[in-house]
Amino acid sequence: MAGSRQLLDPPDVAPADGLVFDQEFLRKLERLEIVARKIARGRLRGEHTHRRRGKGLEITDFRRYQPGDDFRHIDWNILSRLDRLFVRLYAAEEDLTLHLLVDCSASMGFGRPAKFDYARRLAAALAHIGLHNLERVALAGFGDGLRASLPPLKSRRHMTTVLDFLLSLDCRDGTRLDTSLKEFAARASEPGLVVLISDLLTAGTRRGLAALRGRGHAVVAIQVLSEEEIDPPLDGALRLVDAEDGRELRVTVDAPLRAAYRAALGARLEALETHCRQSGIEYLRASTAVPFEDLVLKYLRRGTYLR
Amino acid sequence: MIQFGQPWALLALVSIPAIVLLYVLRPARRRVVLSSVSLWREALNARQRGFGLQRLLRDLSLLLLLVLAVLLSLTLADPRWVTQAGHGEDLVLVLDVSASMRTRIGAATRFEAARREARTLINGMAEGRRMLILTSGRSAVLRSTFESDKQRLHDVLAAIEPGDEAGRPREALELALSLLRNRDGGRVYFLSDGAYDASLDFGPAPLEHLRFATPARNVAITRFDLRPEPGAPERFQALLTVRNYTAESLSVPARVSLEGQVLFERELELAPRGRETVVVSLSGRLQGRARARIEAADDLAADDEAFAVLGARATVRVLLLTPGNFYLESVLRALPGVVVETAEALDPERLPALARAHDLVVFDRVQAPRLTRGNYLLVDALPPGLPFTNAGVLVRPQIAGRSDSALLRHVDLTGVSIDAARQVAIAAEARGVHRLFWSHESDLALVYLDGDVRVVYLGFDLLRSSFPLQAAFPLFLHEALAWLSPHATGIARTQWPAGEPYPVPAREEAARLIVRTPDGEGLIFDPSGQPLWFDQTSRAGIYGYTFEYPFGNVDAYFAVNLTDERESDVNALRAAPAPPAERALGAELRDARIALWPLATWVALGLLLLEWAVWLGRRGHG
Repeated sequence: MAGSRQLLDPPDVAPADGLVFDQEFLRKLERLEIVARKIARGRLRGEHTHRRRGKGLEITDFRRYQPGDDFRHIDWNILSRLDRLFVRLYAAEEDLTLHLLVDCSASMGFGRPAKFDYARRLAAALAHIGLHNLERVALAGFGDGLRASLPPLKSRRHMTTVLDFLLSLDCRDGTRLDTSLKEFAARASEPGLVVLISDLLTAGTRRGLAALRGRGHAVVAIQVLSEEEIDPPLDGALRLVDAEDGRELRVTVDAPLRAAYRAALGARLEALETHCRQSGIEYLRASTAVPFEDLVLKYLRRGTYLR
Repeated sequence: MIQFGQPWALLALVSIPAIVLLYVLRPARRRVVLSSVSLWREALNARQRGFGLQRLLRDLSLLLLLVLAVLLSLTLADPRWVTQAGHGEDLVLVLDVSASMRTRIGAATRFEAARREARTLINGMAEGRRMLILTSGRSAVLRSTFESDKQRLHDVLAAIEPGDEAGRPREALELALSLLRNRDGGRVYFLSDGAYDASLDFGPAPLEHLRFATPARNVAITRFDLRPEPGAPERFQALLTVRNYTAESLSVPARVSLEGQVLFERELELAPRGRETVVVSLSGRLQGRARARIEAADDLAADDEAFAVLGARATVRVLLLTPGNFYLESVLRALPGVVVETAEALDPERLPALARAHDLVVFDRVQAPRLTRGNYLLVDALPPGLPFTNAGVLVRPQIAGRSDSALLRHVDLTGVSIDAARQVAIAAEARGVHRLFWSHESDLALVYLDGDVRVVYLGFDLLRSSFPLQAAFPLFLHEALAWLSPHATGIARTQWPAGEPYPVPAREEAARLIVRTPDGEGLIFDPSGQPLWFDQTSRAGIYGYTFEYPFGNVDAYFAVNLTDERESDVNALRAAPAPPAERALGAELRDARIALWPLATWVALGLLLLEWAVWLGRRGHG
């Protein structure tokens, strides 16, 4: 960060004014903190109490004694009153690793402003919040596979590194979300909070999300869509070209077809949201038409991970 | 089956490949890069899974263009639906009811044979076909509307009987053909014997003549009249002409009677196809209904009798306003059937009532008020309001010219001298004024007709002229009276041709008018207003009519006769034009062609509206 403003200007898809956080916005970000409902096991004791049961001081539950349990955790009060052996379970107080996964496929370059730019700014803001709260923040970019990653950092001074990393990303090629997320899950052995920022329009989304959940990550899926995708301003005889695989579709767009498109999009979003809700994944849909500050300061705070 | 009136127009169908080619070569689709086309593919699939119309609408513009091109080509080719149903074909049956149709054919008549054929035509009508019946006598009479109910047509047919009229089929056939105008596949059947006086060639019209005539014998009275001798009211002449239409010499007894009393009988010797005229002088005050009859063993009885009326005419009421005119009054009183009332002056306010009550008002040298509805003879009198006005006095004008008006028929003006006359000026814009005779300086006699006002004007004093002393004077008054009051005088028209409407004069003072036919049937009419044209005169005989006044009844008669030489010539049959090639009822079912181009045009318009609506809908949902 230099001076009162940070100017993040990606070379390929970012709009002319780049990624700009002013001081006022940064101050607002710094008043936020990441909250994870799941207990994530970390190597350092952090500021967050994770509900993963472990060796913390706060008793969260009891269970019957089983051979091999530490005798020190037997609750003598229960033994004296009920004449049964119960052991205390403690909440582990561990530091949080915030994984920010940014979709770098070609489809993210669509829209005005580009979804990719929007996603990078969102990742930068979340990284700023995490680092400011002394969390461990890791970043990765993916497309048809896991492309680049930044190991967990835990210092406010690493924000520049984060921004440099985000600026180094570009959107190209296709998306293989399942492959990419499985690869990430295999690498990130330490469970943490994974924030997936993508348009989630490709197949394999569910499998990828399941791979993250299978590793014990708390997952927040932020689906970034452009307004042109939500209500396409298309009409007439067109040759539609897929930005990722280059396939064409010859179509005459009219009002009924636009309505059918909106219906298909709505069904897909609805299905994805339902899946996330059933899988314990927090889901947030964001339109690039929504001002970025509003997204972070209002809509994200309505979730459970940011307060 | 569809036929085309202009099949070459189907060449326009070559536009269809051109349209398809243009559609294929239309401007390239715009290329748009999207994040993913999978959703669009899903949308397309979803729409295609929907109702088939949506799939159809994808290329609606092309489809509509193709359909419009086909419809346009079909419209230009004048397509016609050819069906073998009788639907839409109207038939007109023209039945000859002239006197010659009463000619016997064995035990029946020509008319009955025609009626049998008409029944056959009705019974043979295909389902859905309609027929109209009209009769042809002296005039055409519609007997039914276009009717598909065969029983109703049979009922109409059964009520038709031939009359004593001379046939004039041209009018009926023209009417029949006009009724079929703009009706595809219609046809006229003319059922006749061919004994009429007009050549009927309507070219390629859908007209078929059906003839019912066999050689027949006929002897006919072709002329009969009884009239007083001019200048001798006590003496009468009977005129009778009988014609032999057979090829053999005949001796035919003839008898003329008056009110049942035989006036004379003669045995007439008739040469083959010859005629014999008898003129018999009779004396005495004869009055009543006369009848002539021949005893001929022939096939047509309708022309074996003829009728006349003698002295039984309607009264002609004349109001003579004069300071005294011996000549004028004498001649008027001498005219048959004329009743003269005289007066020296007239209250102008009473003129309308008096003019209605009299057939003629004569102003002779008296001041005349503005004329109202009526008939007037003006002698040296010039009322205001006429299109000619007094412009001075002429001394000893000489008659310099005369017109050929019917009023001057047989009127010899040679030697007529006039001491003084009015000089009249005729308005430049005057209408209805006709000159009778004139001097170099001015018109001396005029007639004027304007709506309900009829005027005969003499511009000089009869007493200062030699005109009343001339033989021309009573003739002139006779003709003037006939022209001024044609419905009332009856002077020349007690003989009337059968089938011709007879003008019965109006009499506003009468309570009612009763007209009696030869059969004794009495028909009641309102006598006020316009003259009645009594049209039920198809039967020959003596007709009478009675005006019922508060003071009593006034009777009058007229005689209706056939007396038509050509109608009686039952063997002189007109050659029938060749019938059209098709015979509708013989084939029972006949091709009918229904034009389809209006339908194609409406469908094309509907498709255009549909495309417009779809276009609007697409824009509206956008």
